[in-house]
Amino acid sequence: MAQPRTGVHVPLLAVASVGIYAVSLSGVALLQAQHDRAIAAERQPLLDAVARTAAERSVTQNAIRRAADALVGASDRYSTTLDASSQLDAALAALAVQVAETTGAAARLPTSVALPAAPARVVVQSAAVAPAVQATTGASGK
Amino acid sequence: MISTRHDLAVERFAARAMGSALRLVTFGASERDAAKAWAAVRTDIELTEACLSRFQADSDLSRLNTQTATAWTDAPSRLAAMLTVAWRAQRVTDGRFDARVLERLEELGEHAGVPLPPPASGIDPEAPWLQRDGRTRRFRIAQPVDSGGIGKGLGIRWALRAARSAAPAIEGILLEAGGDLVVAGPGPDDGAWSVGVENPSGGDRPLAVIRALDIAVTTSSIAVRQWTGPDGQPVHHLIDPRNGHPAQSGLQAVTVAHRDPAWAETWSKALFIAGRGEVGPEGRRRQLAAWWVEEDGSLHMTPAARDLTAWTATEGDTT
Repeated sequence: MAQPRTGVHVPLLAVASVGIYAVSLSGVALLQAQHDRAIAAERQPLLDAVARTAAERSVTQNAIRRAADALVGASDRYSTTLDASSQLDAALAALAVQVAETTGAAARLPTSVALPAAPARVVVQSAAVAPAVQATTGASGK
Repeated sequence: MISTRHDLAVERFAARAMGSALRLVTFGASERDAAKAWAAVRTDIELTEACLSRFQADSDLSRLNTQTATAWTDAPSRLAAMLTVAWRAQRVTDGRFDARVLERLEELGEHAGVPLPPPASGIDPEAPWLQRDGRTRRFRIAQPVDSGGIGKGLGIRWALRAARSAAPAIEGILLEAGGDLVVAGPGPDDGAWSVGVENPSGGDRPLAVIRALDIAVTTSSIAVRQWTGPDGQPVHHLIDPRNGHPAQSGLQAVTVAHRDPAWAETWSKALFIAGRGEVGPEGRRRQLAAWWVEEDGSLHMTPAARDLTAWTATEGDTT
């Protein structure tokens, strides 16, 4: 009876298996890389949009801050105006009281007042002695 | 009444010219310079008289008047200046000054003794009475004209210039011709000249005293040159060109101070013609220094005149 030959076949099979595994692993890795690149390419517009949105958000934030500052300033001025208006209002109220008092007084005045006649001419009297002169202007032909 | 209040010399000269008194007062001048100035004044006034007098038959003005509307006439520079100022004065004063009143003066009896062409029908304020040929400097007039106050104003303007030129070292000069005067440079009263405003009612006492410095002062008055007209009515020489009659203005006199004596004359006459109701508003509107005496003898003045007034006797309130 012949004895089975096992010494050569087993290593060959093992090497072959390892080779097949390695090739398979390389193929899988390659496929995985390709897939990853495709996904990255698909995501790039989205990333760009996100970046633009972020930049725009920054601009908007600055505008909002400026508007907020302006609002604060306007608010301060309004407060100042409001104070002046309040003071004016108070002054008007006081004036109204005075007007009311004056009106009351005026109502008690006579409807006509007889004034003395004003002089039609005012005569200014100067020093009686005229200053000495170098010449006199007057009628022609003298 | 003449006085001096300063150590510097005051020299005085007097003569008659242009039918009235001619006086020169110098201040701060040597006798020699003053004499030179007086000689220059006399010579220059004679030149003006020979050119502009309507009382001299051979004056340039009389020759022009005899050639009315017929021919172009050469006009010496003084005559040309007088005609030009008179033409402008008529327009500026809205016809209250008009050199053509000469015919009316002759008709009313103020004869110059110089023959004139037959009188025209009257004064048309719109008629262009003066034509000028700028190329040949020749003139043609439609009616005889009188240099009037403008002639005298120009006369003292030119004579002052001649005196200044003859004796430039003189500090101050006062030159007067028949009540119209001009002062240049400082005077003996604290650097100015004191000029009295005559009382047209008479007397030596002035109605006001003006502090004058580099200015001309003239007066239009009816205190003199009054006579009885052909119809037996009293008339005077200040003719209202708008109606051809002696002005019934309610005034006795108007005095105006102006930088130029010819224009002072123009305005004193124009304001007199304007009359009592208009003299104040017109004087104020034109910012003239004007004093006027109403028929009742009261003195009034414009604000510009008040600035120049150093003293008044009595004064009304219509400033």
